Amino acid sequence: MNNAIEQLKKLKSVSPSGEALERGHYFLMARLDSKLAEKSQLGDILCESYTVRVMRDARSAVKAFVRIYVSHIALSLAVVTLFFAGFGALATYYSQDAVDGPQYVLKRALENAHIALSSSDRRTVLRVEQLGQRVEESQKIVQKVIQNTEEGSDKIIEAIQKAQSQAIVVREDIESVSLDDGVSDIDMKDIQNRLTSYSIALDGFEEELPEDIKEEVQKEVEELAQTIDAINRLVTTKDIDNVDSEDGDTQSGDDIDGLQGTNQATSTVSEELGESTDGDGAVLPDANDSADSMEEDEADVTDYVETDESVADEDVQSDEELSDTDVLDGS
Amino acid sequence: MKASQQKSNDKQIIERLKRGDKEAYSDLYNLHAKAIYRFVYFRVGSREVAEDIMQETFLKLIDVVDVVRMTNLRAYLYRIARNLVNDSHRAKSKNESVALDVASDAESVRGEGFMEASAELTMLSEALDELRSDWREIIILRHVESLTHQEIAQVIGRTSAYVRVNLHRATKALNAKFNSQVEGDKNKTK
Repeated sequence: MNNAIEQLKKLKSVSPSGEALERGHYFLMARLDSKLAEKSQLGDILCESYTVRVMRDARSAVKAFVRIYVSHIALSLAVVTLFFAGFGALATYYSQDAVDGPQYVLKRALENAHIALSSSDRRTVLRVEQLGQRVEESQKIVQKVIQNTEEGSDKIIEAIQKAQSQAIVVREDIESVSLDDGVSDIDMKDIQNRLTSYSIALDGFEEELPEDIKEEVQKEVEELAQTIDAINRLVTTKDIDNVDSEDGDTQSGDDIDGLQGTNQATSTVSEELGESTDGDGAVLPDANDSADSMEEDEADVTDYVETDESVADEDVQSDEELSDTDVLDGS
Repeated sequence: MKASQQKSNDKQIIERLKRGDKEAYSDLYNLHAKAIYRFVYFRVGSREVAEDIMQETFLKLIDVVDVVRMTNLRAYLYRIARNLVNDSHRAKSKNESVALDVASDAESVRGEGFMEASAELTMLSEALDELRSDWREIIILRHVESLTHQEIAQVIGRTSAYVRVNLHRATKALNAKFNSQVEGDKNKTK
């Protein structure tokens, strides 16, 4: 059964001729050279074609890149421009807001201050205004009082001068009266009382009078006082003398005419002062009235001054509040 | 040569072929030209055609070495040769039988030392001629060219099992035919 297989192994001896092998080898090498040459040529062609294609593609790529790049740059510039425009707008907005902000806040603060002032301090303002009006009125009154005081002082000075002249007359009369004539105590007291009333009247104007006039009046009063002391001494002496006399009566008559003249002069002064006098002119109600009226004026002035001080305090408070408001106002 | 070593050598040769190494082609030709010739000769039965197909096989390898992925170079050469043989048969006549003149070919190659076996070779040729072409192909690849079942399967595009089964059947049929030829020849001699 294995004969066929053994016979088949003998077929391994079958082989081509040497010439056929050499020819086959030659054709193979020739075809291989041709193939390699073809590959080389094809490679060159392909390389050239590839180079051309690469160059074309590169050109296209460059064009596309430039186009895209330019578009990108344009787009980027647009975006950057928009960004900076937006940023600038925002910056402007916020800067304007930053400028307007404090102004707005200040405006609101002022409005609030006005509202607060109008709501809570309205009465204070009104009161300040009223006090201001009262101060103005008080000033007017004070001016009026001062004017009246000056006028009164002038009148007083004039009266004093007249009284002084009358006192001189009285002194002359007294000096002209002989010691023997005698003077009643009542008359002397009357004279003394009048002089005292003058002094009281003058004391009321002591602060109001000018210094020179005051000194002058004081001087005259002292002189009158001295005169009165002299008269008292004379009267005392006369009384002693009269006690020593026989009838002991006090004589009136011509000797008293001088005093009556004095009384008349005093009445004249009182009348010139606008005051009523009694018959003997012993009282000086006018001077007291004047003093009382002046005291009332002083009281009014004092009230006004006190009111003015209160007004000043309130003004200070209001000024402080207003100064705060002014600070907020920034003015 | 072991299969792994053969595979490593084929891989190196294929790399050299792809680089256009002429010496690699020369070595490959010297190594496998005779086997390819035998395989083609037993298929076509003509020395001239077999030589042409053998040359064409290696030239074809030059064209396809760059584009085809080859694992077994020898099997691939047989496959190229087989396809070329099939193309040759298709060009002449699909059903034309091949009458091998194995005895004369053997004599021409090996000289007169083989004349004694010419009668048995003639009977073997007749027995092969009576086999199916695919069986004949498998028998030659296996018993003449000593290809493995796997290589034969790669050459003919079949599985190893198919090769094993058909090889067994082809061998059995060939022996039967050959024995009957031998018995008939003995009877004629008597």
